[in-house]
Amino acid sequence: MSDARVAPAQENARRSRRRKVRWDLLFLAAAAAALVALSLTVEGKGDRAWRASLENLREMAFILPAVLVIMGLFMVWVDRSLVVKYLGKGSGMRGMLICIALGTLPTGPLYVGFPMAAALLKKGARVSNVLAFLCSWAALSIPAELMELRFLGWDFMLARLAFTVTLIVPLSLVGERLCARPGETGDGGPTGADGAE
Amino acid sequence: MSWTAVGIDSVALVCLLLSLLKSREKTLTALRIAWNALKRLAPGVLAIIAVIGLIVGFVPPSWILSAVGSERGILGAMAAALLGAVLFIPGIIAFPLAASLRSMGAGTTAVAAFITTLTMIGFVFLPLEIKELGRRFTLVRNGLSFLAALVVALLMGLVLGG
Repeated sequence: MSDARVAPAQENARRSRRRKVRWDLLFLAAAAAALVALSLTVEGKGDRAWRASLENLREMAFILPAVLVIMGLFMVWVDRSLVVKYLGKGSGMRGMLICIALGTLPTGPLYVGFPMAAALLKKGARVSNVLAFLCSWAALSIPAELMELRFLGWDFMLARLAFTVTLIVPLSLVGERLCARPGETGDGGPTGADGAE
Repeated sequence: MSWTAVGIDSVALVCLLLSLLKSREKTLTALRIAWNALKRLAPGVLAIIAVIGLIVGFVPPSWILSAVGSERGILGAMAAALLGAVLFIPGIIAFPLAASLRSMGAGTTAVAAFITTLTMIGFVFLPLEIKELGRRFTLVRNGLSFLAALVVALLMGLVLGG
């Protein structure tokens, strides 16, 4: 490949990355402005809002860096071939069960799982397995189940748990089909950022 | 600081120390990857935290009650599922809210739809999810989760009644 072909591609990538950053900065600015404006104009509600935000901020300050450090170590130490073997194309039902089990580990809200899921994809995990991992992360957290048991009763909690778990497998398999684009092999892809390899 | 945080912080610390013992260089690379990810995610995460404050502070539970509680059957489940997808409420508030939804007369189907989309879908997370996993993946995951939530809710209604 000649340099002439590579340079514009990089330029494009850089430009689109910049545009995405601006989007979430915009989102942040809007949310923060709304929070300030509403707590100044609506009497007596602002305290509750700020308390909820600060509580979550504190929680995230303790959880997010730890999750990202684990993600970084995973990227550096875990061999791509290992991920492909256990969670890749030929991993079958066992790979999916491993992913569902990984998702149940208590680790906080769903969005903390996104960078971890991206790391799994980069290392060669199947799309369906990553979908199962995220669904299980969202739906099967043990602290949440305990809350549900307490407030909605055991029959509600057990029935919802059973139906959700049963649906995760077909959802992930269908999702993989829908994600596959023509001409793509679906085995992760050379997204870079693998660090030392 | 919650037990979750204590647990995950200790795991990260132990892994970090083990890694440091094996290779200083690789550990530094790992930390650099983590730092870059943190920089990339920070605006989105802060925005989510601000929106949580907005929802908890300025969306009165009575609005949610009247939106979910008034409709029954599939329409009620749809409304509840949509509301659950748009809102993001921490579990500590969400489950008591669901309990009061039920005591105000909302059916099992609606309450199940609300709780399921609340946990599996977050409109607030969309920018972050698109950034990390791509637009197509995000669309597929959220779309299918919405359908799954409706199926779960309807099955719940059949099994538990109402």
